[in-house]
Amino acid sequence: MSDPILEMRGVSKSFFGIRALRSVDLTVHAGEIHALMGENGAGKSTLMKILSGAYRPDPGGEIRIEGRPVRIEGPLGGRAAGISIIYQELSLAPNLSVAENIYLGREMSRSGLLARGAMRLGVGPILARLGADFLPSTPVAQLSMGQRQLVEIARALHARSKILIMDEPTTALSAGESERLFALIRQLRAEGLAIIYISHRMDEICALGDRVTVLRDGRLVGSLDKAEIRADTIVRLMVGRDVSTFYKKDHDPAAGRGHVVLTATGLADGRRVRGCSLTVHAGEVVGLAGLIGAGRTELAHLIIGASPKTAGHIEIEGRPIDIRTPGEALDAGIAYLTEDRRSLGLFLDMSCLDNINLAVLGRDAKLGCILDRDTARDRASKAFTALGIRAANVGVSAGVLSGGNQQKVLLSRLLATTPKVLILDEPTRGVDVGAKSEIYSIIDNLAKSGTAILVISSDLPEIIGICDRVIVMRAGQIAGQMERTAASPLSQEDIMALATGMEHAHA
Amino acid sequence: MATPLESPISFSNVGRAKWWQSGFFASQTSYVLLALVALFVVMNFASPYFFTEGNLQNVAKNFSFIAIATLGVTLVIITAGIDLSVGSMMCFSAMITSMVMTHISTPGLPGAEWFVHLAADGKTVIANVPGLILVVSVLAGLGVALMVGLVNGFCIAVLGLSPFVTTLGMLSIVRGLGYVVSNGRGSFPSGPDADYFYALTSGVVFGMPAPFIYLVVLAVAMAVVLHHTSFGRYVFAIGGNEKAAALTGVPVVRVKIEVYVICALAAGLQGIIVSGWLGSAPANMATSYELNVIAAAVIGGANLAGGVGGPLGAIVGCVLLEVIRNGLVLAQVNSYWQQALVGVIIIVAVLVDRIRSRMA
Repeated sequence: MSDPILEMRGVSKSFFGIRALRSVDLTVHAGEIHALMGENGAGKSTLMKILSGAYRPDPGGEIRIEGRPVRIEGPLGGRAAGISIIYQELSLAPNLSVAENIYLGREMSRSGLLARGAMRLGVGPILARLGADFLPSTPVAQLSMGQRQLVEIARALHARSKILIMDEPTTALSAGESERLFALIRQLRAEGLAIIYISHRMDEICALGDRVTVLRDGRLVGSLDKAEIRADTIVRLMVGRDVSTFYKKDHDPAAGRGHVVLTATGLADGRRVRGCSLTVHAGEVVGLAGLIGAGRTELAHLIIGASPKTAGHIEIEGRPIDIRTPGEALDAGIAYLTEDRRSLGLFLDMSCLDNINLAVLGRDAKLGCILDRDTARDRASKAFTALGIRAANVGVSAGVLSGGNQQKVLLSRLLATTPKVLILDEPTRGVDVGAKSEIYSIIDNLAKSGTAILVISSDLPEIIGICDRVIVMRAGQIAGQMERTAASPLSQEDIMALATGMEHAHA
Repeated sequence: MATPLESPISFSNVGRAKWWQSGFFASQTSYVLLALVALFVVMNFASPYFFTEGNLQNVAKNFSFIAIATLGVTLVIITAGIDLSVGSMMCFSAMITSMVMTHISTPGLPGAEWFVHLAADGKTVIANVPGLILVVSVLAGLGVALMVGLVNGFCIAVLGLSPFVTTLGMLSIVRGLGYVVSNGRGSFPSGPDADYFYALTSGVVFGMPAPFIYLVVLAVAMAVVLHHTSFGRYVFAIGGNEKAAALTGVPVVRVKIEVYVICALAAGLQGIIVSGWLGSAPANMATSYELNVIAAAVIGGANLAGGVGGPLGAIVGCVLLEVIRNGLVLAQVNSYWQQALVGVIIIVAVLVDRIRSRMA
């Protein structure tokens, strides 16, 4: 094998005495897709920030690029050393054009004025090489998430980076966009780039990775070659224990299914959702699958009254009910877990205690407005125990928790309202493997206790793993549904075929 | 509920925060309070006159003249809003109060017969019911504040206009209305109840200036409302994450309107109190006070990005500004320096908080 392009030896990083990274060795070769895995808090992002120059490593370690020891200092240091990072939240300015974004910080100018034409021409070849279907002059705001990712990659290539770090690049992408991204990543590998790929999605790692390095609690716990890459091995390394039943599904859909709880008929918003009808039974977990942009979240927003509906009506346990605001939905027994917990769900500066109790403050209050602190504290502690939320105490602000714990805090807030219907929008997005498994078990237990659950997810193995029935949306309409039976288990291919409108998605 | 885990995983990143890194001690308010205490000590040595009863009463009275309005603005700032119209509001409420009082205390004017009659000598004006004139005129002043607050709240919460622009417009509208109704002339609270009015606004109760007592009562009320009612939690929730609050079922529109109404009422009350001390309500009263009020709120730790703030901070900010003003006067420093120094303090206070949060 060729000489490694990147070598890290004994790299450590401490924050105020807490060791975030303990003597990690990492070797990456050119033309290799190197997957970096670990639960949230395992040290992946610290490692990445050291490579980008955002953090300075503790003395003692060594970083070599193409055999030469380097010191990466400051945000531009990484780029100067040939390392580009594509962050989970894309770092593009939406009000600028594609070309302006690619040249951001390194603008071309002619006698003091921006050379717009030259910059547009300059990015042309790179965009063509990436197979981009948009013009350099397009404002980034008009691009889809997948296209924006291409702009980020183009920026990295334009800076002549040799090492590309991608942090959960498919989080915001549809299945189709992800496939195209994978093809592109393989192309870049063939062109000789080294790619460090960070993801929680096991199927991506198994499909793409040439090597997998697993971190746990700041330590390197294992490095697997192509032949050794298997989902169960990786999971065992990540959590340090066997996850024999990753998807937990004990509730019996046939025996456990109760009466119809939620009936939505002909819902439409005049734009993204057109005439959608669905039912969810008590004790049933129904999956809502579809590509990004198929209108699943929009449909959920119509059900809970977060956006106004132009047609259709909703019944709870057979009684028609008029829901115009999320507050009315909660009163009617419909709780919704948002897909975007940081910007639409949690109050990051407020304590877990307040976050958990916020939806029921009014109901608990004495004399109509005085807070009942004891009940609130009691509820929060019970939620901590029941859902296994790991934090020092209920007074800790929600912003400092890991993704999985944040999700559980948000879930506790919904469960405090004792909902009849629970709509979960991407319940395990940005959540580490251990917490994922716990969330599945929470969902399973809720179904057992008779809650009607609708799960929106882009993670097909997840839908298949936990759902009794799957409804598939395509272009704002219900494309079809399929039920799990002993004779015919749910299959990813069938769901994709419905979601994309093709007869055989896997052909 | 969920089954407990067979083997709990321990996370190195979940730790217990040190006591000085959490709660009150971690807030900007605590640092500014510390600075204030230090300032008191310095002033004690710098001027023998500082710690005299007369001077402290003076300080207490002076900071009370912006502190009630600061409580209201702090509430608005916690919801990530801003209210620039408080200075104009102070003037307008004071003006309406004193004009209504003068009007209904003048026999012969329409409506005045319900409140006053002439004594046998034909000159002395006697109130029909002692105190009624005062109550009605103060309610009139607060009534206009209520309406201005409703308009602010409606524009911001229902129409979705930006708080800055809405209240900037309202600053001008209310100031203009003040000139219109008064024709640019000041008015003087007069009539049989004027003595009550002056006693209640600029008098001394139990050795303390009356405005200071109102301030303490209102600040305690605000602390209780913020921390022990659902309304208070909703205010913080909206400031922390308005979209999430709406999805959680928090009545965002209602709470935001209420917050702007409370702020306008606080400013109105503040204006009425100040006019009692001035003995008149001139049309240019409290001009640009909104800047002092917002400065005090920000120095006291209210975060313009929302979600952070409280009554203690509001008061500490006001006291700090007043002690510095008072100190410079006692030290016989050119009073023009005060304004420059206030600006420095705003920036330093926020800077200290930024440095602290970076270190944490």
